[in-house]
Amino acid sequence: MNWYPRMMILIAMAACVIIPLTVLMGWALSVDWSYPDLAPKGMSLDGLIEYITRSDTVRAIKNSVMLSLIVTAGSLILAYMPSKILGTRDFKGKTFLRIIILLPALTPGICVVFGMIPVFIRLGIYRQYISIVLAQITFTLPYMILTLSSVFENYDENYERQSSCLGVGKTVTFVHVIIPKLKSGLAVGCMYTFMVSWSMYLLTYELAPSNLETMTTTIMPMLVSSTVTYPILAATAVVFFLPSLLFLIISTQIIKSDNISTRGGL
Amino acid sequence: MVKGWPKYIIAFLPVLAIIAVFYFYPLYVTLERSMLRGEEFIGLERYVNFLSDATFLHAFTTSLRISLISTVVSIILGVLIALALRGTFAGKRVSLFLFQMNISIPHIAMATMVVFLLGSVGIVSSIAYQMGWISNWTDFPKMIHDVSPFGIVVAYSLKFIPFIGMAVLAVLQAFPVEYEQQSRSLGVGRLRTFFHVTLPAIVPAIATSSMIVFAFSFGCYEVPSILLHDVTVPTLIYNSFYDFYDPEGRPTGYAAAIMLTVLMTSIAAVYLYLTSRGRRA
Repeated sequence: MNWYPRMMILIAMAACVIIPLTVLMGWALSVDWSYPDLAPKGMSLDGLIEYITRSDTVRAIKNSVMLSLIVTAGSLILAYMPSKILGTRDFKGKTFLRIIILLPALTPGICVVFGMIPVFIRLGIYRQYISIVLAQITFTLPYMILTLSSVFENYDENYERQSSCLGVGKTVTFVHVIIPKLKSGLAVGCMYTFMVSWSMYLLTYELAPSNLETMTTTIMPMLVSSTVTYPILAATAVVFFLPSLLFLIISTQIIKSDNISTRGGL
Repeated sequence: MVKGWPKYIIAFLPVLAIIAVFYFYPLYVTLERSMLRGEEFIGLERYVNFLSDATFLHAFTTSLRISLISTVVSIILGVLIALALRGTFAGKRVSLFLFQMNISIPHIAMATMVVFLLGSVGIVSSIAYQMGWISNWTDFPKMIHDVSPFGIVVAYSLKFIPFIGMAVLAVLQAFPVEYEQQSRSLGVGRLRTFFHVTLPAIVPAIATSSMIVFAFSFGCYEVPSILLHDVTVPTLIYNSFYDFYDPEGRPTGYAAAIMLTVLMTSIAAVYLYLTSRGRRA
């Protein structure tokens, strides 16, 4: 492509990415922005800081982080061996197994969530913390397994064998051989899973204990009923997507340094 | 790769148990309840009724229209930007970073940005006022919280253009430029070279990524409930589940959920078939 059309396309693209972000940041930092001004009368971090340090915001952030961390850890533990097998072995029924594992990610949450409610009621754990953890894990497992199995496809099991040949125990091999080899792949898989869990609204709203306020259950009512002022809404949105930007920056660094592919089957 | 059944196949058991109990069993409960009226088994009656149910058909066409427009817009712009990002040039790393950024932004945050952008007192409306195109914010055409799907298409496209674009770019980077140069030096025009040489190479990437885009935008509940003042299939399921006055409400919602599941999994089946064929080739 010639430089002129290329430049125009890329400038348009950059504008489409930067403008919405700038407007959102502008509202989050704004002091008195009234229609039809193109920019707020003043900018200050005070409002944003005041909002973030409010006790209910702190609680929502804490709850979201805890929940997503637990879900990520749970998915990692459950997904580790299956991903290793899927990534390093070839066996009959592998494609079938892959499809079964993928299915929850391919079905919209709304199709399953109302069937989950009676199941959790029957198990006696409806609207308890464990129910939302299990429900989220069901939907994050496919992402974790997909990412990790593609990491394992480039992994050489002979390092493990070598290590055990040399008389190293299983735990020490795991900590000093396997983990260092896989750490960037594991990091990307965990961050990906964290983000999927972090942005789940419907499941959390329908299945979590009703007093568990998370970031998504804070921002959705604001958006649907528009009962809050624009600066508060913008501040919430900024807090809500900040982890994803961090994720992108860290993962591009990791992928660049390690040259691993994260696009497994999806 | 090692062949044969692995020793630790038992490691799949917890994963499969979770999928069985919290995915397949809920779907079974959903299916069962969609086929019962009280205690009486009515089979596919509710499914047949959908075909003549104006509300459902309206929701279905709304969802279909939104998903189709978002997918087509994302394909066209995604491919165009991928073509612009191909090769090496100054500023490529910055452009790539900016281009990828929206993929990682959660869809609810994306919808929030669209509210600030296209809302009646949003930035576009302010610009229109400053330019003298409108004299009051009430003159600004409703783009969100409206039956027009414009705002929602913008929200989806902002997220999905880079998604399709990056998939296409990955193929383009590996595709030798020589083919196109050859075609051009043989006197074939730019457009024909694109349609006959470049496009066939990127069609598989477009097909697989756009299928995910289509499925996601069809099945997403949150974005339409923020940006649209109309019923889509997911919002219909949600509303009928909380319709306490109509005894048919919940079972109808369950039936609609099964319909949506079947639709999404068949799209997924086509997707998996296409990707597995691509992998073998």
